[in-house]
Amino acid sequence: MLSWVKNQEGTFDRSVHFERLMRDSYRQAYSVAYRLTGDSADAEDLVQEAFVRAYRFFHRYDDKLPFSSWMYRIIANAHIDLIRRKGKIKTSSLDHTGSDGLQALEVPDFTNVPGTEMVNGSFSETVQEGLNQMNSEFRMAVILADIEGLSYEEVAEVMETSVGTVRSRIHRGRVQLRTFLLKAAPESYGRYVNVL
Amino acid sequence: MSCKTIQAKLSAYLDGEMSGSEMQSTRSHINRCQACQTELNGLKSVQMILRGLPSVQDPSEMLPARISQSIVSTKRTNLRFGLLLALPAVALAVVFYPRPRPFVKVQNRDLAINRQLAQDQIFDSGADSTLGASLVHYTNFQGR
Repeated sequence: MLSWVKNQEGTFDRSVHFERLMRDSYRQAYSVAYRLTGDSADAEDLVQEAFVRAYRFFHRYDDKLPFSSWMYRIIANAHIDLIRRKGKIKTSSLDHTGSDGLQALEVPDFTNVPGTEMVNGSFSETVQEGLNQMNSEFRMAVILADIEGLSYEEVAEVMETSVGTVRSRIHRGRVQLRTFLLKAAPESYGRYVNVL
Repeated sequence: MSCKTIQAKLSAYLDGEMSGSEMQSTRSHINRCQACQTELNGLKSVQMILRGLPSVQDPSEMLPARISQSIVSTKRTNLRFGLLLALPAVALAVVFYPRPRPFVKVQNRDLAINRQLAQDQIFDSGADSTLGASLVHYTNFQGR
């Protein structure tokens, strides 16, 4: 409990208020963190780090912005810092530019692995793998728009950038994921295309 | 507009995140262009897949407690770090702070001032400030 941290006037209320917001939003924050990291332990570490930062800068929080959006922003920044610190930028294979001006992905070929059967569970893991391979800024924009259902304007606010940049990041992220899925799981991906 | 220009806008078209006139021109291009139609379907399927992803399993029930604990430890560390930074400053202040003069001396000085003030008041009132005797007595002495 945070409420006993300080008994001074004002500080006490701040801690209680923060704890309430944290308990209301940590699951949603974890969901985004999981999609960003692709690993439950990393996601918990990221959420923890993000909430510690949020508490430190809680006096700057403007409640015109939903608390969850403010947390997404902190999570995005904390994730970038985490990647830099760990030096495990998974997008290192995106150095080459394709003919369409988009960076090509280095995709493992699952099609030739004997016994590999893409069912819903494993396909969602493949999709997560595709998200992990994505440039971190594209990934955040795609997660916020397609999984969390934010509008471009809201994504722009969270990522502190223009709507035009968001538009480009979402598009390029989707194209990267499609390229990945076409190579990693063509049959499962094809089922979705055939529906259309 | 070329296919390349249209295809760069397809995600925004799919999400309805463009102006009305832009939507119209993009739609009319897609209706007569098979390549852009295929591209749009590809993006739509990616969107469907992402939207259809199963919910992430809840984190450990201990996570909120872990977060609170981490905040508390960070606050303590910051406090300790702050004290650590403050200690040398306090030590320097103790060493170099000019010592006040002894209180007794100040008291003596104050007494001397008070005594002088009292003498001045006696002088102002027309008495002899050095003897404390009245001028009337002094006049009498002259008369003798």
